[in-house]
Amino acid sequence: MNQATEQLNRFLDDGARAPEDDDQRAAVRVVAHLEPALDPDPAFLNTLERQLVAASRPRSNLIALPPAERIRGDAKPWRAEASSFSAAALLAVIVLGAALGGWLLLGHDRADPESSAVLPAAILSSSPASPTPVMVSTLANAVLYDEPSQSSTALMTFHPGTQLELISTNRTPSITWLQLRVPGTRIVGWGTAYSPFDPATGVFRPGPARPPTIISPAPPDVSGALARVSGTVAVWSKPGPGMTMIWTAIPSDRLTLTGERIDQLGAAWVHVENVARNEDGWISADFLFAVHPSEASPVMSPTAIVVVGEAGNGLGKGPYHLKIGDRAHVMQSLTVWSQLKAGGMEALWRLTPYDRITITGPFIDFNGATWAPIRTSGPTPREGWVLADFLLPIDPLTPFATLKHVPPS
Amino acid sequence: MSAEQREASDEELVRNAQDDRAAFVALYRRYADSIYRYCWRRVETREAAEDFTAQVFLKALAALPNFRAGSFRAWLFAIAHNVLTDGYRTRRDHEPLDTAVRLRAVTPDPETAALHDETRRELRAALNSLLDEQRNVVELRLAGLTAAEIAEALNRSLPSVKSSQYRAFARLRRALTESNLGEPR
Repeated sequence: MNQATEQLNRFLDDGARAPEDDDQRAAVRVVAHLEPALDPDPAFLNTLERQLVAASRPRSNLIALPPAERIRGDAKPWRAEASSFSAAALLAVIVLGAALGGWLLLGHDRADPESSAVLPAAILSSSPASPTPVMVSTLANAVLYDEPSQSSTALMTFHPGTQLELISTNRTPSITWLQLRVPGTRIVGWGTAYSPFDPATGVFRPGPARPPTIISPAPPDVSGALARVSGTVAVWSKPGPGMTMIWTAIPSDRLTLTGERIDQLGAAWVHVENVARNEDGWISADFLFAVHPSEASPVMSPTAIVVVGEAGNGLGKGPYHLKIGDRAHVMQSLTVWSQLKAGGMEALWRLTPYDRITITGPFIDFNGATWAPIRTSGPTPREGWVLADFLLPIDPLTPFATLKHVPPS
Repeated sequence: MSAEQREASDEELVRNAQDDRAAFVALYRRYADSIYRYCWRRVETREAAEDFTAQVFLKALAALPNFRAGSFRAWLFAIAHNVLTDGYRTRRDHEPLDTAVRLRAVTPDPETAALHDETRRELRAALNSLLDEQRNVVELRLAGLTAAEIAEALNRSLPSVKSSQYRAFARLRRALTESNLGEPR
């Protein structure tokens, strides 16, 4: 019988003989012996401590938490399972705070104007007197969820440049939720933002203002034409309120346009089919590219992702610097590729938001984007290449130097 | 031991924090590990445990002005219990495939690590065999709470907690004996 088992038996005996006995040390010993892997990450503890300090400051507009009597009640707190956002539930996007000039990374929002998106009081933070106008920026769609949690429902998506109103914020150590409203409507929902806060003051940290960028040329508008997407892009059941994300298109997909096109929610939506996978749905035209005849066969890396130059642009204190040996997590679903070689890249597998990886080599500029060689952890690590722009340092509060780009050899 | 050397009691730290919210950090430091472990025992992944832990302390900080008397530890674990219960109510019914590989080995000895992992898995399986009310009691007991504190945290009577604990231990012992983790006596 090993030591842990002895301790466990002693604990059980103690408890059985004298359940009222306050023998906490026995419990602690058992826990220490049986659960060596449960030690919290010191970086997490430090981050949370800083967050608590910031939240304890008077007049912080970050977190207004429920009164004690609500905690035992039915108040529905935000349920942060941010670590395992499903690929279908998250598209990270950058939102440009028009008033603040800050860059925020968003998720998505609620769409049923009739239901008025009643949000649980327990998750509301103190709201500013008047909502702050923000604007969806480039890189990906901004998606609104019905509530700030992994189990939320995707309700609406917005293309770059869409004006929204920031009502309030709510954050966890790993993710910040933004409560957003569609101007002039009762549509309210939640998007995600990645560490856009100045931890010292608890407010948004303005970043370099930058107008939304048109990241793609107009897609072909001919039925039967082939198109591809610039990165991981959501495909929706329909364009408009009540839309649900049904699958995600990746750059290697070849999408066939069916000719249906609808202007809705301030964006042009086109209906596409992925013949190879027997899927179809609606996608924002802004993320479609015409497929050149030479690309007609499945190949190619994402080429049109806007390289922000400094990885982590808009991610709080950035710019961030990820160097060899650093650990990072991914901000959105991300394909891992076998190599950086035109026409020879093979999609290996997909990382999901908050998967953690290690940088294994220098960054490479290739095909208009910056790529990072990565390796997963665990007993069977896997290796490949991912877009560096979608990596975030494990501790987002740590400032880094500028991302170093190494020219391809 | 001088007054300066004496470790402040929970009651003192609570009073300090109620006067100055920044002083809440001392309570956080005292209970961060145990709350984190309590959360992780329930949610399987480190990241989820971290988020739940953050949620517990942020709620506690906000609600602290309303804390009046009794055991702070019981009050804090009551918040944790409610946060986790609410989280479970809505969590997705899946676990990431790489849950297992996220477990961090803290010992350089792979054999010891393997034994720990195996023991932990069996303990978890045994805990899963308990009724919810029994498991809640045992998990709080493992977190170091007394029976009285458990009763307060779970809003149950002390006799009820003792009864659950007694039955839970008996059941746990049977489960562990069957899995060869605990030896028959």
